[in-house]
Amino acid sequence: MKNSIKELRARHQLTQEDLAHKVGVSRQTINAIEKGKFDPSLPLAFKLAHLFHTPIEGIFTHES
Amino acid sequence: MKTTESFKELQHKSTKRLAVWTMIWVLSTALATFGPEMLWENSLYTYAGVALFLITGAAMILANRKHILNLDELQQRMHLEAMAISLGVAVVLGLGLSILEQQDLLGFKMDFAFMTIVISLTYLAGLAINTRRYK
Repeated sequence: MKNSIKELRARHQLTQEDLAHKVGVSRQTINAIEKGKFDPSLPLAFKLAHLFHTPIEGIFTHES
Repeated sequence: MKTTESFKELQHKSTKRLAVWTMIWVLSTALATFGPEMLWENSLYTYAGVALFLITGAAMILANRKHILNLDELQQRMHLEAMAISLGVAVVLGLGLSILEQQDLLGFKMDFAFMTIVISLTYLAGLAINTRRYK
């Protein structure tokens, strides 16, 4: 799954640590999601979407 | 929404709780092991020592469960994978060595302490590999 968290984070001027702080996970988890090494759960995806005022499909796109 | 401050605080608290209970359990293990040899002769004290060992062990297990539940989803996954590896190694290696021991082909005496070390080391290795993989 591809995602645009890095771009959205940069647009909102947030560091990985800031974003982790806001959604209640570790910085390592944000980094792993950004690099596509880990797909977040639905609740975490919703938290990210809520934070960036974007629908989930605006952040995550499925790669076949 | 939870903040990292509270997430970090929660993690710090549960790690500290786990460390304290682990230390208490290690001390109770030492007491139950060496007590009958060095401190007392009455077997009643040995029963009491083993009871203490079991109670503190149960508390340590509960503290570990809470610690795992307080991790975030990636950290939980890393621990789950490490546990799967250590459990698999313990079962396969344990049975393999047990077969050799039954046939008197094992060059050393295998006991549970040996398997505990194997489980601990494979768990740590699994965690280290996963930490590197998701870095």
